[in-house]
Amino acid sequence: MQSLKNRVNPTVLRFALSLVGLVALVLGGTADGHWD
Amino acid sequence: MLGLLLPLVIGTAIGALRSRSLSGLERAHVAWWPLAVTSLAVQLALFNPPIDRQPWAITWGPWIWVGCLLVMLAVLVRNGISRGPERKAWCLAALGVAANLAVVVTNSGAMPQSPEARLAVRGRPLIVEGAPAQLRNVAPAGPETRLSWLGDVIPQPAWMPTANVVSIGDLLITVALGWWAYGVFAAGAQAARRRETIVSTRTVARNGATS
Repeated sequence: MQSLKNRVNPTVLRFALSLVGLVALVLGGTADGHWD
Repeated sequence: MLGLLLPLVIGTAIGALRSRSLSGLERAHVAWWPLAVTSLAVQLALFNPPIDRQPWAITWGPWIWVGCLLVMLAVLVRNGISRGPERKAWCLAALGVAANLAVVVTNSGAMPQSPEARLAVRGRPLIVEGAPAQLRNVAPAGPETRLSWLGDVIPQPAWMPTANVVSIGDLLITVALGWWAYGVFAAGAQAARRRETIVSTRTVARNGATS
């Protein structure tokens, strides 16, 4: 993780992690039966 | 499932294109995002083989799922109480999860799904006779269903990949997070323009003073 942080632009890394969080919020917060 | 992610993709794309700037990336921050990812990971494990066929999962799974939704609500509320123009979007998304939680908790830990809408979208009923017992987060809605209007009653268009039946809460969450993505880019572009104006004003003032 530390070497990744050194290689990737911090702004881009922060945005990418936020995007991962957002996708998790959409898929995990909705309940449309997408697990069936 | 893909239809739920569409507003997020559209919000990000329109926000970046309209602002003609990627300075919104600096503003994008989701507080407590690891909690949201952990909650999703628990759901993935819970509702897929082999765990979804385990007797303990069938008994306790619905309430573990309610716990996962509560975690999602906490993440959204945490972001909603932060400062910034995007807080309204977080509050709207929190309202969506709260609506889903309300209907799930009042229906024994399962989201009621309209059988008619299900048939229209998927072409087959939710529960097939003779199928082995399995943990599901949706159950067919019936006359005994409480708050059925908050359940999965809205069919997505059949042309949409992995089309499903969604709830009002689902729509609130997806629209709100698409709005958030658009908002961070728009606000980022505004902040960048303000910085440019300040810099050019100072430069003009400095040049005026030296000449």
